[in-house]
Amino acid sequence: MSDIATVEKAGPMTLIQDVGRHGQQHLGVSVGGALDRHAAGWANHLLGNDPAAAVLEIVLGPFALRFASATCIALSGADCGWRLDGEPLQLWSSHRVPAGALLQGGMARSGLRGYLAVAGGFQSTPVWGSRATTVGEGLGGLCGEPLRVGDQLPYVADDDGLLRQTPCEFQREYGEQTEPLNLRLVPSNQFEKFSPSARQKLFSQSYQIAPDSDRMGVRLTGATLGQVPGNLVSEAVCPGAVQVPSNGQPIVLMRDCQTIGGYPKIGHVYSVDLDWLAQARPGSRVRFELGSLAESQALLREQRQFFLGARHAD
Amino acid sequence: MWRLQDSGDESVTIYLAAHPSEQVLQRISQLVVLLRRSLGDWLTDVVPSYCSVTIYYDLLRCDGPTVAARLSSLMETFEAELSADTTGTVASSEREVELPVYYGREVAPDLERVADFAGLKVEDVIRLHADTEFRVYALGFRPGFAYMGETPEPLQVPRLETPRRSVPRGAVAIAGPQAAVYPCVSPGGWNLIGRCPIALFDRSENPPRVILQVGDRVRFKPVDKKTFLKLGGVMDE
Repeated sequence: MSDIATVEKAGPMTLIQDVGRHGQQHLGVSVGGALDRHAAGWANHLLGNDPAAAVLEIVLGPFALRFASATCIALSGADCGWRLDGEPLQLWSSHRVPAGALLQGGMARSGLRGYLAVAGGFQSTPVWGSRATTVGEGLGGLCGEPLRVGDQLPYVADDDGLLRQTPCEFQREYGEQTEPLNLRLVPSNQFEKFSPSARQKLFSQSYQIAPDSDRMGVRLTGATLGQVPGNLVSEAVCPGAVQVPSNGQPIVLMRDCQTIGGYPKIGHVYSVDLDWLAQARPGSRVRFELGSLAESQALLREQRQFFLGARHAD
Repeated sequence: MWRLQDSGDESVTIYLAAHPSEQVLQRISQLVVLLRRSLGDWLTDVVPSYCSVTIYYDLLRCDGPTVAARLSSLMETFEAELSADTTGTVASSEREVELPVYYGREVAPDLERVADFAGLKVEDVIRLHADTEFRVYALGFRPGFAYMGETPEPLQVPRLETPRRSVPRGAVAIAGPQAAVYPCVSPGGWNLIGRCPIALFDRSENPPRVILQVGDRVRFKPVDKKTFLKLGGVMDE
């Protein structure tokens, strides 16, 4: 039975997201998808959903959604102080929602992106097999745009879902950072073209996240890397790549990034570390640590296999 | 001459040359066909650009070292076939595409300036542009946005100092040696010399239809306003 959840508060940027739109980059179409795959993955997993089911990614809040029929939901990511008909709900948990209930979240107390999953996933028309909203392209979601008040989200009514909690060791808090967030970096592409002093500077300082960061890229400000290689003949770029334009200030590409680009890339950040970066607020600090492709791939494989395999074990 | 380079947790880039050229484009188009034909279900995408091809793969189906080994052996075969085949029978993906363009002043705000720059009459600018066979070198920036080359030398006007906030869909544009048609409304700093009525990224279908692909040979065909409108072209409000 298909039912409808109605958006009563939309927040500054709430998007339907999933694991992204793969395989169309050759047409210039971004991958997109939930920026924090750990949190989005757990929201689906708590309900026994397909890992590719569509969730809502809620930037900061406030956000409110009314469910026409009874179902089950799960909440993860940024702590928005969720309430169901006024009763507080635990984060990193799944919950039963009675027919007509109102889910409300306030401004996130920490972190940047809250995730809301519904049993069976939010239903909207997939484009190239994905419901991920890429706003710049106008693809996915409802008409390729952020949710607005009054929008109606179809879901499958199912109040027989699993009620459970993410084990403590996998729950994340994104509180006041006293230490900069560590981003492990695999040297790649044009790493060798950067001077030894530029490479040393990249790993020896911390950077501040600039306010104009978005789903396309997180812009960092710090002491300039100095002389950097000039622009290249444009080549494919993917989320995680660290571009350094001529001003010497790195940009970490995020999931809505362009498919090709011409700035030199000093390396790429571990995919699993992008999940943390997705929750880091402008003004907070990050630093780069030298890593390896083998480790980066092992961690990503482990994350994917966990969400896929765990589901089959249910 | 080629080189493999890991470029992400699930991607490898093959560099084929240092500078773009017709020959490099030819090799890249051929390589894309071969990659798509030869590689297994672990391949998620093949993205060609001016001098390189990037292969995206699924880490759950194939690991980095295996991908590198398979690509290396495929590249050796490819190079061997190419050097044995001077007649160019290795298949490439090139197609011929004709795009209608209305060069009317009301949709070509930079045409006059381009003519001044080139020291030509407006009619000659249109003729030069329409007589050129362009190749698609890369797709990016926006879905369906094709980077084409090469604009004839006299028309190689630099991009605008201040980009426009909004360039209309279908705008036919040139900047330096490059040429393009804007597939959707977006900011842009290229010189606008006409309007194409064909949707290069057609969202009315699902999945959207993308007209151009890397390697395509593109010609612009001047049409009058009536034809432009009949083909679905829209004027600015």
